[in-house]
Amino acid sequence: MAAKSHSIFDPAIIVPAIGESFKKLNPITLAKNPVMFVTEVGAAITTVLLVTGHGANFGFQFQIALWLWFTVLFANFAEAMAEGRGKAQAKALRATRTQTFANRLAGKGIVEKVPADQLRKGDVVVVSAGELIPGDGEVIEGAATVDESAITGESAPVIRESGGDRSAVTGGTKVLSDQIKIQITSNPGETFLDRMISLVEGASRQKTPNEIALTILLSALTLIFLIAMMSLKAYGIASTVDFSVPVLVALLVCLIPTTIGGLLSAIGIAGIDRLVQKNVLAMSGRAVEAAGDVDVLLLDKTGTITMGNRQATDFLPAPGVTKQQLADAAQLASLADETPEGRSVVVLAFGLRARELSEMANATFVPFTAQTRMSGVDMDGVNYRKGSSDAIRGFVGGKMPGPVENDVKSISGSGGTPLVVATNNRVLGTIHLKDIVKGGLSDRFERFRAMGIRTVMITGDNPLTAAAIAKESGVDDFLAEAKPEHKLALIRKEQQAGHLVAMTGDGTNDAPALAQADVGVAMNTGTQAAKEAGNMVDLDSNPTKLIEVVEIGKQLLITRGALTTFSIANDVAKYFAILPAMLVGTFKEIAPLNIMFLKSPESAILSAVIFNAVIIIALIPLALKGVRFRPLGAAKILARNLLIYGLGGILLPFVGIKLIDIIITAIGLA
Amino acid sequence: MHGNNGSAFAGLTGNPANGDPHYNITLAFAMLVGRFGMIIPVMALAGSLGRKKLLATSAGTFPVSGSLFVILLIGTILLVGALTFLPALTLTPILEHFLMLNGKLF
Repeated sequence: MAAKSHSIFDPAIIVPAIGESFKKLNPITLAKNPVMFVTEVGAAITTVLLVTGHGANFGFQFQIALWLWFTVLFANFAEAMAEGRGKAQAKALRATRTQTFANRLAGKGIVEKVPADQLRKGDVVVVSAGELIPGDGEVIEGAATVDESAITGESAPVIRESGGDRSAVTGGTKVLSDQIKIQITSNPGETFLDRMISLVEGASRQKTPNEIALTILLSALTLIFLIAMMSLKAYGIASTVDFSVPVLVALLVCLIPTTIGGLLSAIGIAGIDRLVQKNVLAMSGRAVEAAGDVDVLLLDKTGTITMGNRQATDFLPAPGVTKQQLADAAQLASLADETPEGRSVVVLAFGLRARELSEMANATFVPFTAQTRMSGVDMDGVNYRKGSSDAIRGFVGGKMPGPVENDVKSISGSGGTPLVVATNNRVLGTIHLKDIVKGGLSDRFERFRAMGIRTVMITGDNPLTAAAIAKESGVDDFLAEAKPEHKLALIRKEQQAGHLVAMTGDGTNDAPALAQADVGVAMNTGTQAAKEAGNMVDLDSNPTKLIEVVEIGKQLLITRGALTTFSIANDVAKYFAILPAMLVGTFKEIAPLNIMFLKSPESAILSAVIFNAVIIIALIPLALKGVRFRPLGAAKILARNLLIYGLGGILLPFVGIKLIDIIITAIGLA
Repeated sequence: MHGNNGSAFAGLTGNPANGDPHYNITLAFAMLVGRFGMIIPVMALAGSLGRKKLLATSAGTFPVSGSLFVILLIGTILLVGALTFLPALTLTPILEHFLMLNGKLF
């Protein structure tokens, strides 16, 4: 089941989020966010002054206090919304795992039935056809087909067997046939899903390095404005202007970056949410951020750049042979060949000649062996064979027609694999097997190039084949004849040169490289070792998704930057609203500074405070969805966002504050 | 006037005859905070930056040369600077300007 994207306005998320907003007023938890903490202290001071009866204008001060509390609540609401959406997605994933019972082996062949949540790491359970797998684990005995659609959304069952790279099973998936013994590899509460859920929940969420840096910057700004306000109070005394404390608090709250301060954690959680929507579980917020800074992608050729297997794409007949005859013989020689390559030959030939197995009652199939390196069929006294050109040359007695030799050479030269077909002693022609490059990749790699990300294809193929596929797919670079240890060495080399590297992997031998990479996306079908080593798990096991992971990471970082710029740029208009209002009572000559022609000093200050609170709510959708992402270089994105969020951030509040001033004047609030 | 460094333009009767050291002490304090209060966090920032890993540049790297960066840097300095000092400036030169326009001089 794919995690669904929830509407921003889903009441099932909004209603609990409102309650959460009040719970988050707790100053102990709010202290983690210095900007909002200062706002809350300001709101509290204003409220105390109001209750104790200090101040001349009760109605005005009451509204100031009210909107300061709203500012804190709105920021809490943004965070609660992001958490709620994350939890809803995680809950949908977790729903599969409740009510599962496990048959635990209690030694000496005794099997006991226990609830799945009582299983501990190291326990061995038996799972039979029709039962749910009670927890993440490794198959230690047997093989079974497993329906993993609950996790991956992919309806085709997969085979899970002991040993090798296909031994990992996920809790909540269903065994369809056979019986397997599974060793549980994680305690309840420690599975990937649990780790992901705790990541979006407040309790164990830790600030990422980028969030810490931004929090320090925002705290420094807050401190500067706090000092500026305190000195303003002192200047006021010297100039015989009495600035009232609620007005100073209002100005302070308007100036400190409450917009980004309030939305910061929501942006981070929303990044993780967006990954979950793509069925990728991140093990830390840090990993999502690193994905945004990645500038080298290591992509495995097989499965990522090309379809899993080579496919027959063409028949090249020898002189004097029709294409029809060649296709016919190739199909016969491949009927018993159950490899994907063999099946692709049958499928390609099918367009030319349909054949039923019943026609072949008296056929003897000759399977492929490592010695003969051929496969085929003996039927009605004719030996049909297909195999490598060397093997077939031996089969037909050493002589191969010149044009066929040329075809073989040109296919190899283009990065394909030639298979030669012969009947008895006659060479009929060549089958062109080739890696099929997945569609749309060269466009994506082009987008990456524009963003400054280099793509490197990793393949075990020889350099010639690798170069041909690299050219066709449009990757920037390739590593041919690669072994797993080469991957690790390449990652280290790139990191030494100052690059951040992302990769995908599924095998146990990928684990060191996954751990070394800055972003290591493990395939859900992969081994437990690979999943432990990486910092993300792709539930769909689709290696091409690495590309989307990087885009989500970039979008997260850009959203944060854009809203920070917007938040600080907003302050200009607030000065023009509040400063003349504070002075005009004593010096009416300052009136021309009120360039927005706000109605009264009270309405001006109140409008600025209301705008400051409401903008948080208005920007929640943007924080949760992320700013629109374009595959451009950093300079272009920066210029664009400076224009929108910088210049726009300066201008928008002038309009907004004026509008609010008109409204509150019209309804008589100030 | 000796002992006063001149920054005060002696407008506040720099070093008063009655020996009240108020402005000498507050000015000294302000200078200390103004210098070291800035230098210490900036040094900490530099130390943190110095420990950072050097990253390779690419089209995805934040550009630190060219007109865009110049505009961004100057814009940020002006904006944050204006935001910090505008309240105080409004009360003094800006207010005095408007008072002057109304024929009120000091």
